[in-house]
Amino acid sequence: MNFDDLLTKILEIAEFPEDKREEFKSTFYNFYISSLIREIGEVDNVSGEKLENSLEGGQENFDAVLAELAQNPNVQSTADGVLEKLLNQFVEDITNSATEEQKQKILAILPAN
Amino acid sequence: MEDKTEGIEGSKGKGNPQKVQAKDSHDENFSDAVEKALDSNDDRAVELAGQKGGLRAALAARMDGLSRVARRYSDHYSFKTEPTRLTGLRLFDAAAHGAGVEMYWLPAKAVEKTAGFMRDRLQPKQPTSKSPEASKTN
Repeated sequence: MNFDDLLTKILEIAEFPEDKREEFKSTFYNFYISSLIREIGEVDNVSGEKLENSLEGGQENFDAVLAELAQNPNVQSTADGVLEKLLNQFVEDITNSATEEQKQKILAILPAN
Repeated sequence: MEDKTEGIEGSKGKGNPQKVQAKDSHDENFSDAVEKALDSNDDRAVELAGQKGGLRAALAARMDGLSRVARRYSDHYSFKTEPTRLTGLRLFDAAAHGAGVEMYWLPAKAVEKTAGFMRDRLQPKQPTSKSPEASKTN
């Protein structure tokens, strides 16, 4: 299961309007990418610019550039921090707003340890 | 009222990203407040939406907050000139409208991390016989 699959299933469980699900996912990823570029750029201008430029080459190119930049430990820890914060916030939203039934459904779809 | 804060002129190509600038120290607090408000992902709004409309409403409020902040980051922190800066965002917009751009941006470890966070918070914790919670209920 990739994150896209997980997010899709959660949106189904939440009964998020079908015609808005792609927009939610797009926004979620857009925020992640924008935050990465911003935060990494604040660590190192050149790295931030490289990362932003890599978007034009699609996801494979972006991943490859990020992996290269992440050889710098500061960039790696920044990238990890951005991801962790976003996921934490998402899970917090679910924790605070989901019904017990929704929580059980979500737990049931999680990949095994 | 005279606007003493200098606005963003937009990226001018390579170099440092531009941020909201205050013209003098008197306006630094104002600029900080503006930055904070614009940067806000509005946790309180999400919480309130969740209380009124459940998970669906909370996620809709969160989507709104993330969208505003992502746009702001792109506007104020971009390193590129206008036409090329928007390329990345156009990819996302195209995906949102089903234009066939495959979107899968989060790294593989995101699934594992999310699953871990969810198990920690969504699973009810069973107090043990020696736990303070168990002794308090007796």
